[in-house]
Amino acid sequence: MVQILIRRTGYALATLFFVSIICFIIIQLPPGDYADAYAAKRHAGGEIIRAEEVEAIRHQLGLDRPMYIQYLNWMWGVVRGELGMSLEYKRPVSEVIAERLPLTLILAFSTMVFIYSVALSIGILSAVRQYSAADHFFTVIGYIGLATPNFLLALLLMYASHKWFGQSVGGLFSPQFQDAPWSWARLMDMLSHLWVPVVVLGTAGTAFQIRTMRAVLLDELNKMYVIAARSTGLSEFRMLMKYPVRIALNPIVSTLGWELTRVISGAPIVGVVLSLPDTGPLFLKSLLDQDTYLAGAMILIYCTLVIAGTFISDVLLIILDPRIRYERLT
Amino acid sequence: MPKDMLLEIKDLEISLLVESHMVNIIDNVSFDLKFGEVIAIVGESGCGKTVTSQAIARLLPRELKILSGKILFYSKIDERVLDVCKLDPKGKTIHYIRGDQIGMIFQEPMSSFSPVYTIGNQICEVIRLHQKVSKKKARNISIELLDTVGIPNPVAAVDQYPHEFSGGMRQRAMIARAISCNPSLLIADEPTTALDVTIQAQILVLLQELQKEFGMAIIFITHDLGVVAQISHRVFIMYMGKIVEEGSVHDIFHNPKHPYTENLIHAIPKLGNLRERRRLVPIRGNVPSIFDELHGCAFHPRCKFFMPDKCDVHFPKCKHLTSNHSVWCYLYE
Repeated sequence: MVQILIRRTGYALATLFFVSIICFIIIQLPPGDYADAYAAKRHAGGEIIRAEEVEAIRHQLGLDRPMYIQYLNWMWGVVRGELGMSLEYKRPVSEVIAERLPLTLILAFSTMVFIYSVALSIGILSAVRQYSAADHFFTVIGYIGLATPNFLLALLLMYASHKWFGQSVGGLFSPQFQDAPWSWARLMDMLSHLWVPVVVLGTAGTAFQIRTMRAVLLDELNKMYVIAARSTGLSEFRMLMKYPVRIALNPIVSTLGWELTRVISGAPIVGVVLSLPDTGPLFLKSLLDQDTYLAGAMILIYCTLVIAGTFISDVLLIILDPRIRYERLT
Repeated sequence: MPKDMLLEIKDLEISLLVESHMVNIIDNVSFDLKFGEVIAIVGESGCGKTVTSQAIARLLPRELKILSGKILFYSKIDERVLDVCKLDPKGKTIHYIRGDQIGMIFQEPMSSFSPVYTIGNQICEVIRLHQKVSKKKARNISIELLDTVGIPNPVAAVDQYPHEFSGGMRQRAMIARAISCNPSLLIADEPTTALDVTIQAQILVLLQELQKEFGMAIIFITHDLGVVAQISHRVFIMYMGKIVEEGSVHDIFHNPKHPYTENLIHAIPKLGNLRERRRLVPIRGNVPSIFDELHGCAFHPRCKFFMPDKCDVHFPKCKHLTSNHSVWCYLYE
């Protein structure tokens, strides 16, 4: 078990290393750099900027050096916990992100909890009561959930929350709490706003996981070991949970990493549409500004979350299924 | 029900619900079982033998409904006779009968255990469900049971997973689980079908020994007459949801009366036949579909003694040939 964990951690770190290289290359791919974007912005403001000035900015920021040197510099900083300076905000990247990252994490975590708590219970119900009214109802809702684009759902829910719940549109806080220090009331206020992005981000995943749970559990319910377990006199509920549901969790747990990927990559768009004070809008802006280090750091953080999610799902799977443990050991 | 009876099934009828149609799967089946008796229900695939056995523990799938009849079972906990048909299949009573007083083993030992728990876990669970014992005690009982069913090194085996066991070992472990609460009835649904021949023989011997040691009654469900000859006291031949002949092993093998039984006996390969180069005699035709509406005796399309306007009109009445040899066939009326 320890051996597997060490090996898995090694894989995760190696993946992270390659991903960081790819991140860096992708950020550099669009033509031009921060100096050009800066000049263009000043130019649009009516200023005249000479080529030498642009060059000076570029040299000052080290953007004229070869790409691998820039990468190594950046990486060396990352390893020491310094993510570099944001070119646009003129502040350390870590500071800029730190303001917003907790909200992103809260959002991602709540969405995952939402997806799995709803999907597992409805999936189990749907399978055990196959072709019942409830099953049909959730199947229809599920397909609608799968088919509705996030932004449309976001707009609908914003309208609904404003119209029927009288909440301020967008954001995670009511105006009076916008800049208030953290307090119980502020937390409650945030939770009352949080459900909109959580539902928007989680609906497609929930629908997908309901389908998975239902399909796998239906297969498992017909297996011999279910009848065998029933023949021992276990109550139906205990039998269900201990035997078929436990096995049906396998595909659910092994796709945990993908689901987290989907939530994280969907978050920026939802963040922009709902104008949330999380990392989403910041990420979009950093890309538009060609703010290399900020964008790089954000992509790296997103990737780390995804890799961590996959790692967690692998570990859970090993705990869940002794057959996997056995295979890897021998 | 007489005092020495453990189980009595009376006029059992079970139907399959297909798109609001009812198709009779089990038709007027009656038999009984004394304490400590071993009987066999024999028939081809799809004749309803498994359905009958599952009905006794009320384990029928949702599509199968018990229409009428009685399944009387002497419950040693209540010290009285219960009609299993009248019990709520999700209720308390059936749950303490299952596993405790009725143990079951199944055809596929490979898939009868959940792959994600240890063998010990799955046996202890049953013990702790029906008996008030500590975890440690249950574990010790499990080890003893594994030893009883002949699993080598039971102390290590108790912590092993099913995939570390061979098919024969798994069936032994399955038997250990089924007898863990010392049931008065063991239902063995084709327990040896999925195993190879040498292992089959071992499992049969084991069941025989256990039966002698613990004195439980056994219902053997099988299509293998060889198995029947080795272990059972009485035999019931089933065809298309009806019992067509019942008798002692001796009657059935040496004096079969129903044409179907006779055909079954002729279809068993014998070593002597090989030398004489005699061919096996298959039963002509196939088992009809349950959706075919067959009147009278369901065997008539395959029977060489078919009597038109008789066999295909009404099902024959029971003919008692001796005190425990009966047949349902017009040849003997």
